[in-house]
Amino acid sequence: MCLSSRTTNDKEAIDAFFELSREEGIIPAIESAHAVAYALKLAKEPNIGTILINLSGRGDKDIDFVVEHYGKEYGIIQE
Amino acid sequence: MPKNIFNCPLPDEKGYFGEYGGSFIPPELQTIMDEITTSYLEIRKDPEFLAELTDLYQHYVGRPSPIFHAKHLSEKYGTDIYLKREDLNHTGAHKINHCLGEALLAKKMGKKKLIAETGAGQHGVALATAAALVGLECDIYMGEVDMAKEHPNVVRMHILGAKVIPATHGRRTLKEAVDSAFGAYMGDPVTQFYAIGSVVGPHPFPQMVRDFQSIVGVEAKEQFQQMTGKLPDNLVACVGGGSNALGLFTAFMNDKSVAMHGVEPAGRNIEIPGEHAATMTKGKPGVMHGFKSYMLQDDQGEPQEVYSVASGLDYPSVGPQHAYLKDLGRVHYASINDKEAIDAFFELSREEGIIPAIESAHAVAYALKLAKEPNIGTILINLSGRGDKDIDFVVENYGKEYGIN
Repeated sequence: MCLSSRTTNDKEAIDAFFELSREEGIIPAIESAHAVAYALKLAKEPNIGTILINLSGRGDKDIDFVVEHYGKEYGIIQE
Repeated sequence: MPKNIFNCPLPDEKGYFGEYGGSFIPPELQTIMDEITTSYLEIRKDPEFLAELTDLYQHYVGRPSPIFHAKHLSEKYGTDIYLKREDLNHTGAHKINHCLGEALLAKKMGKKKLIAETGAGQHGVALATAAALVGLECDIYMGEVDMAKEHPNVVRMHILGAKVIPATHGRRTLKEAVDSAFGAYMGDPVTQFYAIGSVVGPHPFPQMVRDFQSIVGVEAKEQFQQMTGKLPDNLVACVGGGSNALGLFTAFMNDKSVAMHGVEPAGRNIEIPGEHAATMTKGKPGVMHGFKSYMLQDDQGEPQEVYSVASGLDYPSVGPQHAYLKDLGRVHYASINDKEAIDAFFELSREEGIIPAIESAHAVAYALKLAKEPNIGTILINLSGRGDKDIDFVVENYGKEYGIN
């Protein structure tokens, strides 16, 4: 086990928000998407082993904001 | 592995529950439907499939969903009221139970795309979720009116990578969404799989969706006995197509002491055609969307326009097994109007801190009526979905009456 602090920027978090939604059918809170984004970075390191992410909240509260600001980049066109 | 999950003796091999059900579709579609029936009857006995589904129920959906003893309501109404918390499932309703089953079946049959209709958007979100999980494309057909009313669910489906296609004819609600989805399915029934969203449609869907939903009652029976040492005296569930009701009822079907109540939407006025969707209270037997059941028809035998404040109950027919259970007298069907449902929506929210879907609020409203009858005994309500999708609509249309400015 290793305890450390790292940072994730907005763009990485939104990427992870969509990646978790579309790969696993789970829409995360943007907060939790930061953890997901970092975990996916970590996963690329050699011999990293298993990763347990705390998916701390669901993304229902964030969906309007995300689609309004980032939807287009992810193929969502709102009428 | 849950015991006796798929043990109901009906329908017969042609898909009939007594005189209801069956399959009334064009011959080219019947060939495809027969393949689905064959595949389904195989996988429902396949230990590998059952293990996969059970694993997803537990680790993905979060099953078993708890039963909650609603102490404030129980005290207020003088009888013990319990809630089966299907609203706590992943995606917020019971619909995920059958969507995962349908998606796994479609994948095993080599289909590329899941398509479906949706009313309130709960089935659409659940199916888009299942499609993302198993790796299939997904097109959801939804009435334009419902898309505006249930906007958050439309956004969810988009985020999950599904396409949402508006139904723009007629009343632009659930019945029209079914028409559109059916039309699209006819265009390509080979690579697409029509994952019907309730216990309706041609055989084998009324059976298959019921089987996948029956986990609700199997769990509830065991949980309730553990909590109270007895079976519940009454089960209450809302009925649109009827999937959450059969989900709860099926495991108790042979327990004669358990009374079952299905609650239909009386809308704005149950006496005026077009102002309600109380199919079994006001309808008569007929054929629509590929199956025989009770339905609301006009003078020409065409499906009547229907209305309910709950988009998920807004359907002019009902699952054929419900029609059978009504004639048999095994289930008692009642109705609740818009106002009563909205009252119950606020009452459950403010007494127990649980915001129900407007659909489920119909069941709650009827249960609270039932609770006033003498010696009614315990009541177990299937709280089939959470109300997050409905909050804007409810507050905008009814907020003032409940002190929200």
